[in-house]
Parts: sequence; C-alpha cells; structure tokens
Amino acid sequence: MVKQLLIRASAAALGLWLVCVLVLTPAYAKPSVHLEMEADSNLVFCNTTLPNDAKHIARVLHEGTEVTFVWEISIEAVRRYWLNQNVATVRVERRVVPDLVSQSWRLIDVTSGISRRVFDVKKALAFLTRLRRFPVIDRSLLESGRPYRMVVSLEEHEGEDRGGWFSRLWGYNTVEKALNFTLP
Amino acid sequence: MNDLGVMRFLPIVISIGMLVVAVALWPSTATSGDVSMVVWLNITLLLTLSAMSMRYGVRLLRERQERRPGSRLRAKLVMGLVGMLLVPAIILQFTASQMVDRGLDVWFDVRVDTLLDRTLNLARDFYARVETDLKQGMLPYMDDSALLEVLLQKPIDYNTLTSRLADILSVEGWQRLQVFDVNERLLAGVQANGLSDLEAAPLGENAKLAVTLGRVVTELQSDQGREVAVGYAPLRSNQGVVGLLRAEIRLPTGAVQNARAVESDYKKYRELERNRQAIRALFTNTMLIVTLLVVMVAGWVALIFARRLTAPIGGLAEALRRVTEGDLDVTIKEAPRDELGSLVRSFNRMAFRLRENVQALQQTQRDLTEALDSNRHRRQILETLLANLQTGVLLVDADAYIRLLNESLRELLALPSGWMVGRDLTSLCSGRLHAIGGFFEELCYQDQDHLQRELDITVGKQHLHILVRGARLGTAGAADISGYLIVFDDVSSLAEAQRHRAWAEVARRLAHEIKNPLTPIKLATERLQRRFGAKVDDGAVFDTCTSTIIGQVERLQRLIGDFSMLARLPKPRLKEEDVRDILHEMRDLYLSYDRVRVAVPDTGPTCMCDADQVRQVLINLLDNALAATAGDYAPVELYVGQVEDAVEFHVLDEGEGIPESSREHLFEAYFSTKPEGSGLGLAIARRIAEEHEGELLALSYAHPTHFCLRLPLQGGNMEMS
Repeated sequence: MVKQLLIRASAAALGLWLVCVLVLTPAYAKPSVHLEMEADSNLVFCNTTLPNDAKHIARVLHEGTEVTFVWEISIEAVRRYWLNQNVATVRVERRVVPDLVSQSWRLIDVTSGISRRVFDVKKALAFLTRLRRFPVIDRSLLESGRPYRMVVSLEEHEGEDRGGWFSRLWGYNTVEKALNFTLP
Repeated sequence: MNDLGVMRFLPIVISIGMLVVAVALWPSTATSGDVSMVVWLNITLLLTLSAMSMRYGVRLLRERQERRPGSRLRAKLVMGLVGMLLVPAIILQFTASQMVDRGLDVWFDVRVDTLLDRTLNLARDFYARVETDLKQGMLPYMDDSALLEVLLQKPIDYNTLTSRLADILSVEGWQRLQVFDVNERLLAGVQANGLSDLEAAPLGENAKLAVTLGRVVTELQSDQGREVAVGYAPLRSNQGVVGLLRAEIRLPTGAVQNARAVESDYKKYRELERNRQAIRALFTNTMLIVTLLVVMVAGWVALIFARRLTAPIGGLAEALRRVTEGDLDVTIKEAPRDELGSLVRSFNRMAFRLRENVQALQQTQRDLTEALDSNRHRRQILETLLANLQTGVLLVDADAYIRLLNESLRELLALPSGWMVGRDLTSLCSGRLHAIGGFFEELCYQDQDHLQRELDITVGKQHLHILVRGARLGTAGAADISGYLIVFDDVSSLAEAQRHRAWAEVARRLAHEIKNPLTPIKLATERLQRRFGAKVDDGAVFDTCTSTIIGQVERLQRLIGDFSMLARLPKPRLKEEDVRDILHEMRDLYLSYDRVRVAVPDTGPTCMCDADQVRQVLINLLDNALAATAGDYAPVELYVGQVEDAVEFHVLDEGEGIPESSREHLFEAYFSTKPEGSGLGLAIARRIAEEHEGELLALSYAHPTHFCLRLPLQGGNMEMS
C-alpha cells in the first residue's frame, strides 16, 4: 500500500516537473515585440519594434552575415465563438547586406525593390527592427466600435542562403505579438 | 521474479533517465531549423523508448504478482542484451560528444580568429588604399583651370574637354573619367580601353554628396563581376560648382577575388562560430539519433530473440503448470527445430500418454463407482430387507466371528448385549443358547453345504420352537466371501397349530367312533334299569351299577362334545355388540349366585365380536372361579374396561389360586386340575380369544386370581358376518 502511494506520488511529482520544464520555461524565454496601433482619418498604421534583439543583430551584421526581417501584419475581426476573420495582411521584407571590405551595409526593401548603402550599423538596425507609421489598411474597411486584433509576426533570417539546407540547419527566429483594438 | 532483484526496476530507471535526457534536450526558443528538427526527432525517440521501457518495467512489476511462464528468462535476456548494447552506446556517445567539443575548440581557435581578422583588415586596407589614392589623385583636378575654362565657355568646346580628360586619364592611369554639369548631364568622358558607353549611368547619392559637401567622395561599385572604385570630385570655380568629375579605377581582378574570398570566408567562419552550439547540438543529436535507433533496433531484436528463445520454454512452463493443476488437455503447437523443439515434442508425447492413462483411469473409476453404487444399492436393499425381515439372520465368517446380525434375531432370541458384530460366536453360545453353538459346530464340520434343524430355545418364560437353517458361503479360505449364513424362524405357533390340528383330528375321529356306541349303551342301561330294576335281588347294587354306567356314559358324551367343540370350533361371526348387553346377560345368568358380582357400567363400549363365543368364554371363566371358591364362598367379580383400542373383560376371584406347577400348562388342552374336568375349557377359551385376534391372559394366579379377556374394538382384520 505504502509502496504504491510512493510510486504514485513520484509519478505525480515527475509529471509536474515535466510540465514546468516543458511548458513554462520556454514561455518565459520568448523575446517580445513592442506593438502599437495608430490610426488617422484615412489609414490604420502599425508601429512595431523588436527592442531586445538588436545587440545580436548588430553583431551578425558586423560579422558580415546578411540579415532579413520578414514582417507580417494582419488585421483580424474578432469573433467570440469562432475563429477570427482575417481582414487584411501586409507583408514587408527588409534585408541588410553587409560589405565587410568597404564596411558598409546595403539596406534593401525587398517588397519595393529600393535599396541604399549606409556606413552606420545603427541605421541598418533601425531599418530592420522598426516599422514607424507603417500603413496597414484603409480605415474605411474597418467598422467603428467593432473589436479587431492586430497580429504582427516576425521571421528573422540570417545568412545569404535563405531557404537553403545550410541555413535551414540553424533555422530562423519567429516572434509574434497581437494587439486588440477598437476604432472609435 | 525474486531472483531478478533490483533488475526488475531497471527498465523504469532507464525510462526515467530517458525522460530526463529528453527534458534536457528540450529545444529553447533560440533553437530552430533542422537542428530543432533533429532535437525533436531525438526527443520523440527518447519519449518513445521511455514509454516502451516504462511499459516493459510496469509489466515486469505486474508479472511479479502474476508470474507468466518464461517471463523471467525473457526479461533477463532482454535486459542483458540491451544493457550490453546500452553501456557501450552511452560510452560512445559521450566520447563522440567530447570529440566534437574538442574539434570545435580546434576549429574556432583564437589564432584562426586573429588570422581571419588580419586578413580581412588587409583586404580592407587594400580597398581603402585604392580609394585614398583615388581621392588624392582627384583632389588637384577640383580646381583644374583647363577643365574649368572649358566648362565656363559657352558653348562648351567638347573636343578640348575630351582632350583634357584624355590627358588626365593618361597621367593618372585611371580607367574611366567623365565630366558632368551641375544638372548631372554627361558632358564628356574617356576610358582607357574601348569606346565609352553611349549612355552614362545615373549618378548616385555619393555624387550628390560630393557636390553638396564640395569634397571628393569615393565609393565601390560592382559591375559584371568586376569592382571599380569610383570617385566624385566637384569642379569648383569662383562661381561655385560648375561640374562634377567622375573617375573610375578598376580594381585588380586577383586582388578583388582574394579580398572577396577572404570576406566570404570570414562571413562563413563567423556564422559558424555564432552557431557553434548549434553545430555541437547537431552533431550530438545526430549521434544520439543513431545511438537511439541502434538501441531501439537492438532492443527490438533482443525482444524478438528473447521471445523466440523463451516462447517454447514459456509454453512448456505454462503447459507444466496446467498439467500440475490437472489439465491434461495440453499441446504445445510451436516447436522450433532445435533441442527446445525436441523437448516440446517429448512433452507433447508425455502429455498425450498421460491423457490416455488418465482417461483409462477415469473410465475405471466410473466403472468402479457404478459398481460401488450398485453394490451400495444392493446392500441398502439387503439391509432394509434384513431390518424388516421377521426371520432372524446371522452371518458368521469362517473364523466364527459374527459379521452380520439383524434386529429380528436379537428380538426373537432376546440376545444378550454381548452379541454384536465382530464377536466370536462360539464364545457367545452358552446357557440357553448352547444349542445354537452346537448347530454352528455341526454346520462347520458337516460335508453338506446346508443344514436344517429345529431347536427348542427358552426365551424368558416361553419355550420357542426355532427352525434353524444354515448354509456355507463360498469356499473356506477364500478372500472374498466365506463363512456361514444361519437363518432362524420361530415355528412355535406353527408347531402348536399342527399339534392342535392333529389333536382336533384325533378328537373328531374318537368322538365319531366313541359317540355312536355310547347312546345305545346308555339307552340299554336305562332299559335294564327300568325292566330289571325291580327283579334283581340286590336292587341297590344293580341301581348303583347301572347309574354308574349311565353317569360314565354321559360323562363320555360330554367329553366327546368338548372334543367336538375343540375340533370343530366355528369361525366367530362378528357383529357390533354392546358390552353392557353381554354383562346384563351374564348377571342374569348368575343371578342365583349371591357372590357373583357383575359390574355393568352406565355407558359402555361396543366391540366387534361373536357374542355367543364371548359368553362361552366368560361362562367358562366364571364357572372356574365359582368352582375355585366353592368351599369358602369367596366373591367372584366380573367387570369390563377399555384400554386404547380394546375392551377387556376381567374375572377375579379370591379363591386359593392356581398352583405353581399348573400355571405353565393352564391353557393347554386336556390339562385340568379338576377330577371331572376335560381340560379343554381354557384351551377353547383361549382359542376363541385368538380367533377374535384378542388374547386371554392370566394376570394374577392367586389373591386374586385374575383373568382378562381382551378383544379388539374393531374386530381386527376379520371379516364381519
């Protein structure tokens, strides 16, 4: 009897420990994205920043590795008892290609095709990690007073061979952040 | 399972260990890509193995209570084989992990780091030098008078401008030189080899920067695998910037390739260095995958091997267990072609023979049981028969020990308590039972198998006439049944009846022969008395003699009448009679006798009887009583009583009583204590009582002398008239 109780108690303790280790620990280690919604009479904007990963990206850029940030901003209409309805999705892909020889960084907006060269890594970091007043959707498409949800997901790819087997070895980081809002 | 000891917990310990390793391998958020996939694969394998190990461990613990045949051997084999593989696999994994660590340390050595940094710096210095040279070279031409003069002319003399540019190009050794106006329009251009492009490329930001800042700005450009250093120098006059000079220096292909190769290597090296942990994890996890797969396959193979090896043993053990529990319908089907298979086949043969033997035994047992049941049934019948048999039965074995003695014999002969099964018959036959011993002795020593004798045995005050028949059973000395069966029948009544019949026949014949001459004798004697009574001389003697003759003839006639009565006593004609009527008649009959008192009850019973015969009995009893009390005039009493299902007529007198010597023969025929008695009165009275299925008893032989006639109320089993 006592032996069975001990075995059950041990199994319960082990299960609890597993839950703590497997579920709770990764949840606390996840990086976060700062997200804000801004709207004027015509457009809904997104302000987002990845504040706590800049040091690592700066190092990567200094070491000559190409970095690509793929931002995906979605607006969903919140439904209470069903899956949210997607209203709009905007995808922005920004890339920084370092040139170690000339110690410059080429900033490329892949979506629009515009590029420029900078000689300051801070500019490259800002280019990658910040979206300021980024227009997401025309306000007329959203209803006033209805709850919406803005979801920003970010994929951080390092290396030129994006999608190739070698880069697949290391994979890429993903971060997601959501914000509920209601337009007045 | 006890001999497994701590080993039975080994699978659970391994399972927990694998769980811990799985948790330790759990990927962090920084882990992604194929490394993550490999880690997840490892975790999946570990969890699978852990679950399998846990399941096996739990099964082992369960089998501790419920032992399955062959499980212990199988568990030992599996754990031994897996353990044999697991230990070197863990060592190999650990060694490989250490080697990867060392290898990574070597790969990413600080000297390599420094070397790459320096190499990259060399490349950078080369590029910087080219740009510096370009800047230095272009600085004097910002204020070049020849160029400014041409540019300030209206219209511009393009030949002069081109000539000047060609001079500068030849002096500086640049590959291309172009002049733009302030509107970024190409005015003229020369190049070292070949023709100039028909259309100039638009100026970049650096060109505007150079114009804005008013100083030389350089940049590197790539074009079709070639790299050029481009410099922009504003052409300044007193009126300000009037144009822009653009110069190109093509970098040496070899140097560029080397520099870019260095850059590429540096990038890759740094990338690898950043992912050093991931590389280590990749190697470790890949090794772990291989190890786990090998362990899994080895475990599976070990399990199959152990199962194949232990299945026949388990089957044998299970079959033996079933045989031990009595289930002989066991056959092991799987039989490998080896020594175990031979063992299995031998077991099957043994089980088959056992089954056959047991079936034969069971059949024999059934037959025996049936025989026993039949025998028991027969014995029960025999015992019931013996118990209900009126005949006494005695079974004696060859050694004269009693083997069976029925209750009828015990009651018939009033056997002492010492007569019981197992006692020696010869020692018991003493005293009044001595005749039985003699009969048994004669039966034992005679040649015939049967012997029949009639023995007189006294039981209490009765003398029984017993017919004894003996038979020898089996052969002497035989093991099954041997001994003697002796049967006792009370034939006293039969003998008495035979005697009565004989006497009755004699009486009837005597009466017939004697009665006929008596009447003429009597008549002749009376005639003689009448005719010659007065003529004879001595009349007194004559009268006495004739009277004697007549008296004796009359006496003989009465005697013959009684004989006839005894011989031809009719069957009673039963009717329901009121006892009081009979008593009234008797009182009236003996009214003349003052000392006869007849008590007639107010209410009396009725009984089924022949009233004439009952009266005859009562008259006989009262006459005897009166005769016995004739001297002292003692009273005689007649009264009636009822006992259960019988009515009793009691006759008492206070006479001298019946002598001791006469009491035994009181009811015998022709026994009388009176000189003129025929001795048939009480015999006839008793016979009448017996004919009524009643009895006549002498309850007391003196003071008072008490006789009782007991008759059944319903007349017994006799037919009613």
